[in-house]
Amino acid sequence: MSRSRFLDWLDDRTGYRAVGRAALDEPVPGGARWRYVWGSALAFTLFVQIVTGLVLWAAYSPSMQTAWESVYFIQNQMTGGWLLRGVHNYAAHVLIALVVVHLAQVVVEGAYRPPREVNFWLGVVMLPLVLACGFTGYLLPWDQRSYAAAKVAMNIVGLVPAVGGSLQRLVVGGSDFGHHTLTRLLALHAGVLPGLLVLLLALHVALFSRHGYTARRPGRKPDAAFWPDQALRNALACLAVVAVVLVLVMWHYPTRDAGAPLAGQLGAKLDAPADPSENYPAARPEAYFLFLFQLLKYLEAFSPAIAGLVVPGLVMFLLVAMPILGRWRWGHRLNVVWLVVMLGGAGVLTALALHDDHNARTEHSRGYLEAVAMAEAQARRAVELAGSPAGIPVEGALAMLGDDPKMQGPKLFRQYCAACHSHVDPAGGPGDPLQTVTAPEPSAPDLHGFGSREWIRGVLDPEQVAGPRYFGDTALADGEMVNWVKENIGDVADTMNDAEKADLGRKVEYVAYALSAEAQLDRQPGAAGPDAERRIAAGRKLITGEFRCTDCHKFHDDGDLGTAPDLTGYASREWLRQINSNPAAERFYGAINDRMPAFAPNDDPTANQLNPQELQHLGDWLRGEWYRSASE
Amino acid sequence: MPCARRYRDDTMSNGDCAVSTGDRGGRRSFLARLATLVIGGIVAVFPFLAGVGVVVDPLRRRRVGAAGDGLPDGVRLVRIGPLAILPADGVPHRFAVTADAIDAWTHSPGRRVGSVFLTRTDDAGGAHVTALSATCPHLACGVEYLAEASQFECPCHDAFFAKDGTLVTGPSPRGLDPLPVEILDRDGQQEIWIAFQQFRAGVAERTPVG
Repeated sequence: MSRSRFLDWLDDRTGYRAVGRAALDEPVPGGARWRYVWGSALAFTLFVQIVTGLVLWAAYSPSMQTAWESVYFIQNQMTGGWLLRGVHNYAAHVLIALVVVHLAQVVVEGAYRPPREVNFWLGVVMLPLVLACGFTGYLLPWDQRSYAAAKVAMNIVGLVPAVGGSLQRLVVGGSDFGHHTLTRLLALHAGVLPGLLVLLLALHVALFSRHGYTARRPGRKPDAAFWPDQALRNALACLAVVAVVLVLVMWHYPTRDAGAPLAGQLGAKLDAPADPSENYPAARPEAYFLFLFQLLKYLEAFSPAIAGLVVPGLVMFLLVAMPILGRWRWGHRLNVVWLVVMLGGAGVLTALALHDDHNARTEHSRGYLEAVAMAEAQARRAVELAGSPAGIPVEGALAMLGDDPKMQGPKLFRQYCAACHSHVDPAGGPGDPLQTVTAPEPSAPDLHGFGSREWIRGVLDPEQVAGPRYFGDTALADGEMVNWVKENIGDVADTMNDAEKADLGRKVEYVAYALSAEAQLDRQPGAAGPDAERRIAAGRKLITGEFRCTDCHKFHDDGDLGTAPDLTGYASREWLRQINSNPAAERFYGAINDRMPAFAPNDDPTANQLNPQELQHLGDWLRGEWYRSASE
Repeated sequence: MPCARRYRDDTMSNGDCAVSTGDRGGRRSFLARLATLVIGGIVAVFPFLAGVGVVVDPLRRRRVGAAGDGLPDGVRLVRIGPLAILPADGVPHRFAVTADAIDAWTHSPGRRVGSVFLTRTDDAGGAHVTALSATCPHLACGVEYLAEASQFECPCHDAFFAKDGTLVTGPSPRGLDPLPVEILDRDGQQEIWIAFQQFRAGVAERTPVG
């Protein structure tokens, strides 16, 4: 059967040609115009979402131990996964922007007027469905942002009068977030909501083809057929959607990392996995919900139900009422005014929300930006660990992070140590948020690089030892150690000639080498090698000999415990574990320990503030020992 | 006069509407049509292009063996247990095979990946252990050993195999798949290790799945 005969047969049975011709010859009032492209662009973007969403669905795994993990895998491991996720994410933003434009155009042009009221209502019903699609999609990765948004939204649901509690349980899939939260969210996001949207869109388009375009001044030019001029404009509009989405995907969000953006940083963001035990001050909704977020802040004196339920309900009511109100003489103008107030209000609230967060002048803004930097550092760390040879365990990524000194160290330090100690890179700059903790009122040495040669050089520096990074703010500011350094390194140097000064400087350097060697740091630059060995040996002799450290400190076989901390194994893993367990032990400060708490003085670990694993994490973090990818 | 049409199928007023069909067949129209088709084609395939990498991603993934074990991809040297757990009675015994597996994002140590039949016969030269995959080469059902008949049976499509794995009767295109066995000395204890591997079912040739 030839092609045309087959098509004839097909047309005879289906009548497709008439349908197609009717669509192509659809009269466009006043000829092809750019003003008519918005509906097509919208339908096209929805099509993009359905196709990319189906593929994402085939790689997503909804459960508490696999949601973040599968999204991580899509984003960082699967071929072009970052592109797919990025397109789906940013096309959602474009979709919502187009919905707003479409709505505004329809209202301004009075296209809700008879006979198009029903079609207008269909569109109004689709608006919350589109927003719900965006919102549920935001939750599925179950990262920190998802978790924060889920908590807020589910509690707003719970405020619905009378049935709120039950409704909340139904949406959450139980009383707490769990596997069924995600299975239900996925069913909503990938099944119920898009299914309803497609159904309503079919009706919307059917009614549109019954009513035709709404023309403003239709008689200015003669009507023209849809094909090809209007079709070309629509196609170009869809191409513009593609271009905007691709630009957004490739516009990688700024990070503190220098160098080329990694594939994992392109496209949609993925935060660290949701951790219910952790505060998350960087929590913000997607851009298109920022106005509600801001409204909640302004209306904080009232119940969150006002901003979360009453205001959106009112907006919906006003939209539904527009065609009815439009019959009144001044009704259309009032509708336009309302629309401008609603959209303008949302716009102003969004701008205010962005300004509040990003102005970098207020304390609130600085706190937020710091929180974002921390969240990004944690997200990078999570991805780094997930890609490590050990990978993600069966228990999920949260367990993996719970076992990482770099993730847990700063939290432990902030909680238990930062009342007195800071941990700030002396090199300055913003530094890695996971290695930076600033004590509000430091009263003990800064422990950044503790045990390294650099740190020990500072102790032996008469300019620094009584400074804020060392003993300046402590009870030991005028103690024996500080005075010894001042007298025997500072004052003595004043009486020396240049050669003698250089000799003293070398000796201090040898002592720094020898003491730091006690720490056995994994990451001491130039730790090995004959030169280092020679310096360490020389330093050891100086500690027990010329420098007379062992007058107060014990160092291997020399000196005694009880007067100053033991320098044997100084800053080693075991030394740190012991001093953090009990600094008042004879090996450390003994009776002169006036403020450092004993975090694990008891033999029974359950009676201690810190358990053995936490002590280990804290020590490893102070020593800078954690998994590092090859690129670092 | 303006077009007073309310509905497309409102034939009463349709007559008022002058629909210009443009310069159909003209040069400008031809270009417009061509451009529409090209651009329409591009935007229509765009979401599919965005997803094709993820869809075909499994094609570029290979089963990962333990790094540095010197075995080809798909083959894993796995420990079954000490030699003593296998009686030297010359009868096949089923053992579960557990191996460290990487399943997409999950690294799971000791996951059950299959089972094998081990047969031990001792002679003057020492212990001899042979291993047969418990997966039927017909369509990959699990075979069972029938002690009274001294045969393996696949319950799905009634294939029978002799004790040494050769096909006796049934639809299987080949006998049971033998797997290499090594008796390794670990800290003075003799241990059974096998090179675990799976083969494509339904074909006469033994082709590894990797």
